Amino acid sequence: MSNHTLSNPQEWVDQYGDYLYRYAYMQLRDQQLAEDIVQETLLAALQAQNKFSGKSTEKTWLTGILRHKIFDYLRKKYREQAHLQMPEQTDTVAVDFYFDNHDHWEPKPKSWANPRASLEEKDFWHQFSKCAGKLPDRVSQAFNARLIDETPYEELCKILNISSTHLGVMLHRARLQMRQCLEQNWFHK
Amino acid sequence: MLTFFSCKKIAKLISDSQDQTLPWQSRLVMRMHLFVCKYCSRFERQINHIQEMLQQSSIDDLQSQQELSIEAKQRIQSTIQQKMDQ
Repeated sequence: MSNHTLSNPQEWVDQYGDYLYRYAYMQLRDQQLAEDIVQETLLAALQAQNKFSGKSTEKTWLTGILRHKIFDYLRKKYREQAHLQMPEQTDTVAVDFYFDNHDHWEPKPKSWANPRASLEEKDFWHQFSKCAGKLPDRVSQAFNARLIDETPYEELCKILNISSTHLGVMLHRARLQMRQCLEQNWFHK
Repeated sequence: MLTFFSCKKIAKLISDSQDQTLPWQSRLVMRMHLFVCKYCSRFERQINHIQEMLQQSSIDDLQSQQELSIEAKQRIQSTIQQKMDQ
């Protein structure tokens, strides 16, 4: 049911500014860049008000515009700076780090007691962001886009300018790294 | 036969299975290994937890220490105002 309406754009910064900024900063890790993209997003939304269908909330709609702009930025960056990017080998080597030379787990994953209870604790989210912050830029972008936004595989490959094999290794690396970081810094400190 | 599929290889299959449907042969090998390997089972459970955590989180949880500076808010606000006045 299309029953959502837009509020006055003059209220957008107050209502959604921090949220949009956080989203942009999470992906771009640069204050100025994140600020600029939030501004671009709100200006684009201003022009596109008549295209708002009302099927989603205003916040979802604005976030969608922001996500497009972030992806456009990354697509351009990873095409222009392709020569500066880490090859697949870097991520493959990073994955190897979690196994010994007999391909067994090293260190061995431990059991986590009641992971769901951790979600209630503010300190947990602080630690979670710290762990996510340790992922290299492109790996973090892949991880966020895939796990939070559920960006389709092929689209993500085009945005990050990598093959689907490389994306698979990158996401695997991210999962291994996040898992170990959370285990060592939270579940089995 | 089961040992040919090392934890390292299986871990990769587990990760891949999060993003796409594996061919049935890979799925079978993976399930058989998981049946006997507690470490890979933990890995599978824990990356599922991480997925759930991310999906249940809000961006505000994940980046609570970040926010738009007052200066940036004012700057963006006035840019919007200018556009609206045009």
